[in-house]
Amino acid sequence: MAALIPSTPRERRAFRLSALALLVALPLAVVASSYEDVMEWRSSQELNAIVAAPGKSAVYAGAEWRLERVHRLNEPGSAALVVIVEFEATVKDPAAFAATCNVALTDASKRRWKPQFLAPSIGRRVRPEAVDRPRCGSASLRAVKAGDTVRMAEAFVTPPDIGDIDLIVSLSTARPAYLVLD
Amino acid sequence: MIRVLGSVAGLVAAIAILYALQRTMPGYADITKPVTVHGAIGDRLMARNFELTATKITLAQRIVLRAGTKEQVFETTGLWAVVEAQAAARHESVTITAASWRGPNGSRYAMSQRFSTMPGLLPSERLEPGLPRKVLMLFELPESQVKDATILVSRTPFTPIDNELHIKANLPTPLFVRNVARIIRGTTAGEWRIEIQ
Repeated sequence: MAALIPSTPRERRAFRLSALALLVALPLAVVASSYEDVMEWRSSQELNAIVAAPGKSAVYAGAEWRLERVHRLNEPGSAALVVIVEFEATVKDPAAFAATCNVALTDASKRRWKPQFLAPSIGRRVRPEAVDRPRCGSASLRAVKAGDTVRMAEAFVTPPDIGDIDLIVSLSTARPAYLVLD
Repeated sequence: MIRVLGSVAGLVAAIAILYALQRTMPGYADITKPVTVHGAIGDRLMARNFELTATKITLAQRIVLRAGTKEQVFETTGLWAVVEAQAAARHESVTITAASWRGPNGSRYAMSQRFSTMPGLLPSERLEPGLPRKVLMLFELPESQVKDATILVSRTPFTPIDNELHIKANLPTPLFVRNVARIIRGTTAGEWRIEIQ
């Protein structure tokens, strides 16, 4: 035990320096070992919004995005509202645009509706030209050139009392930034 | 002498404390186990991602699925429990994939997978916020496991530190078993109604 207790001034100094170095080394070790995980988590989150005001476009993930039309369709005999959103992106950087795309609809209450995999039947009957458009996920899979305009649509099933809606788009190449089309 | 006794007492106390800590240490499964929400039939139960009200349990000897004029019969050597419920997402669209029937002896019966075309089954319906919809859970059970059961519902079969609903299935004695529960497909997707004989 005696050997572990610093006795000479030189040993004491080394002991204190080592103790101080630990204060730096331990947090550094934590940061170094978790850095990749934190960055991976960050790239899966939607943290900072890029907002396109109504009728305006916004630049996001290598493209200029614009909301074109919103159709609200009432299926007779159903309590739900079908919302079809048509939007377009003019691609500037095809590499940034070719990414997995997440889409959701939100309203003032901050609830989120995910898109329907298959467009509801009323959409196919009333707005066939809209539901024939590719969805965001499949549009970004196709080869696009700079300057191309990609027209997309997504369908949602929501309660009938849904108010002002925003379309939220996020691409894996641009996260944690995400796009809000007002 | 007193010093020696003190050291021995300290050692014994340390061993006792360490033993107690070892015996009471929760395992990984305990730390991450679901957070339960208890209720009964008719209660509106809130989980983190969804809300669900089990409205009715019907016991039947067979289930008949009618789509248009076609009927499909599902027999069982035990009993069918048809659980009707009303469910909605809370903040974000969600699909509830796990429901099971826990019998009085603790056996858990997952939802029957015999119905490939049944409308309104809980795991095949995407739930939307603000849009409650009628859903079905169908369990095939031995008769001994019907009484004093609990219906467990969670978002996924393995839900670490997420909610699991525990719904007490209070059934009257003697059991009231119907002959046929006929589920009739509606005209729109996922729509159905039930007829009992």
